[in-house]
Amino acid sequence: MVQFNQAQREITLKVVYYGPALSGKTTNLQMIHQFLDPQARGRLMSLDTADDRTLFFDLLPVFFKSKSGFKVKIKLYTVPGQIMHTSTRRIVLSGADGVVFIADSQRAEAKANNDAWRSMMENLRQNGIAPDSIPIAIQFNKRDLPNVRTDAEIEEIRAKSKEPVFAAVAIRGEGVLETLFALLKLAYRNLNAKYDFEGKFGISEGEFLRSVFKRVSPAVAAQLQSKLGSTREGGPAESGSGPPASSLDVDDPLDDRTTPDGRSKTGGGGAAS
Amino acid sequence: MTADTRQPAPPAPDLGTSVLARRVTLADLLEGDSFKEVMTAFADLYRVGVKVFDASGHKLVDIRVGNSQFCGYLWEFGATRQACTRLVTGLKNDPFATRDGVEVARTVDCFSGLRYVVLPLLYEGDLIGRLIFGPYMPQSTPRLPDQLYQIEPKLDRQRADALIEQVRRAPDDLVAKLLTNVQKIVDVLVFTSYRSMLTSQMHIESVTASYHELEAKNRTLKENNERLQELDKLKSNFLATVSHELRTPLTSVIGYSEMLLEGMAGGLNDEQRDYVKTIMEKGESLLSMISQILDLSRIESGNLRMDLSDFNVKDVLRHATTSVIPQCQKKGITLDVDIDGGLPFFRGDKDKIGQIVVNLLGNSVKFTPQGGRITLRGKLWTGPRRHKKRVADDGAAMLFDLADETFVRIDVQDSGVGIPPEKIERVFERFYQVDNTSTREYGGTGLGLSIVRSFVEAHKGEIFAASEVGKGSTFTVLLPVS
Repeated sequence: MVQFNQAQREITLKVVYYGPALSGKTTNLQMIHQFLDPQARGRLMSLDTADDRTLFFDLLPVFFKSKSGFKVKIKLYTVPGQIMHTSTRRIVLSGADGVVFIADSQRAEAKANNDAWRSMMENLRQNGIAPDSIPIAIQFNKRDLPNVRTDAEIEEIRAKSKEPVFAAVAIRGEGVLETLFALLKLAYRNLNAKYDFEGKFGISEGEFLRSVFKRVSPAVAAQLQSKLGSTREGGPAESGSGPPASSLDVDDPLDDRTTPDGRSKTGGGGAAS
Repeated sequence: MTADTRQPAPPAPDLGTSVLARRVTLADLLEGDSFKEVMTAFADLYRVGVKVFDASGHKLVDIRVGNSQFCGYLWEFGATRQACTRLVTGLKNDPFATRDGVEVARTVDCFSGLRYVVLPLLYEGDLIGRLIFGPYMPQSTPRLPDQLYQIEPKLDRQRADALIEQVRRAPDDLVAKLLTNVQKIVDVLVFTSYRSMLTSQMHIESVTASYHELEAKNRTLKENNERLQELDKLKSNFLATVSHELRTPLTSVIGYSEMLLEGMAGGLNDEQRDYVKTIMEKGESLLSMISQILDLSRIESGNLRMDLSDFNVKDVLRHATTSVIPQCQKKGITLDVDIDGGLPFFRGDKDKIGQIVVNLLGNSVKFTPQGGRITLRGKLWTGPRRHKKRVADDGAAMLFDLADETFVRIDVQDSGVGIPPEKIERVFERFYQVDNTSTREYGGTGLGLSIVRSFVEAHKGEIFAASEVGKGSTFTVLLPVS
């Protein structure tokens, strides 16, 4: 839940990177930390164990001051991927304004992806967040590894998915900012529709996104610029343009059964709800 | 989304209570005394005073170095005292100017010519406090300004000049460097303590959440368990009632068949006699099954009554064999009986001991093929128990081997089909059949051995089996001689 602090003229958003163990959630945050201007972000805090696995979460604060004088803080969190940390994942996920789901492209990880997706839906519900009310972006990471889903498969998932789907090699930084950008755009539109960000706080979608992504490396900036150009600036709230609604079949994009090779067509998977 | 009809989710965590949603203050993060030590070391090193306030104006650190006497002297006069108070209030409260939305340090000149630098302490772009560095004498100011004596003409120049010598003189660029340094130290201190705070708080929150989850699960399990026990009791009562009700008409069927056979209703021809005989035999086997169910339901409802007496085990064993001799003859099974003449009188329920042996023998006959062999052995035997835990729940058996005991030992050995090793412990469970397919070869309720075990345990004894598939099984009963 976005937090408003009128007295301190401050707005805090929460974005959570969710996904199976070792899918690259922390790597995403590390790359964002590298790409963003140090003035627009804080230190990357990792609560990890000796073997570098995330223990509770990673936290990267991103912040800017709007022209209207509001301090906007976006806190990016990751959750621990290992099964045992269910309660931590639920605590971190509570109050999220958007979720980036990092899936592992490797074929062998299909089940782990599906399990994580279902647990995410379950945890959202248990936190009182209807899964179709929260913006979600999906990233298929580790595109550079062997034995991964083909581009055509990802393309097919993208066509079927209500959520935007991105391919990434997070360890090289590819696709990382694009994913965050898309999620923040959805999150902004969702919150604007709910709380009238533009009218109440004078923060337009363009300003919101530009402030976060200002001064990223020129190459990345150029890539993002084309997308940034398409965002609205100063227009009226577009009430019908909420995030893509996800519902019962939301796990389809990650489900093996939708892949053309027809692997694991065995039943029993069922809908995540 | 479809209506969520599954079990209610646990209550959503209260956002206000999670450490992740809380805004932290400097005082939360910096341990007062340690932070004071760090700042004192810094102030001593550079001989300049340091004050630190958190965002709400609460003072964390106040170290004065060098300027006390000079400022104390100014404090003696009304005009300078007023000017000083104004200045200090401003240092503490005046808002910072911002550049690109970020608070920046500012330099404040005192009317006395001394200088302060007020540094914003930021974390994640939040203003969490301010550090006031000073006063120091700027290198660029050679002596106390005349303006000072205009504010307070009563000041003694010589005295003031002497006191100002104790105040550190510093060039502004050095001060800027020092402050960058100090800002980094504070930043690291805040970051690391915030990190530890989050870690420990998250730990507590996670454990608490897990605890509540487990508690909820335990509650559900307990409720389910209670419901199952209730159902189990209902089932036992039902079995008892039904088997009792079944027995009554069955007794008549058997009774009248018997009367027919005895010719009480006139002579029967051979065919009629055969038919009635079959009716009677089947009736009796049905009766014995019903009796087993009734026995079991009595055992389950805790109504097993023990009719204790002293009796000769030898006689009971011999008598039991008579009940299976006809079946053995029918299947061509050899029945060896080896009973030690020295068996003592035994105190127990004579009928139940008899039933134990009859059931075991009947079981062996059932599973032994044509031409097989069954041996019944009875003797006095001294040795340890097999299942130590069952008799020593206090844990003593975990520590010490149980002492040998003396038992009446009864073995029933057969050359039957045998029991696979993984199923050997389960044959004593209620309703259990090694072969539970619908096409199984051997009939029965699956209650016989379960009843036997209950009767053995009622005598504080134990029963176990050894078997080899295809070769046969041996059931051993140990009844302690007290």
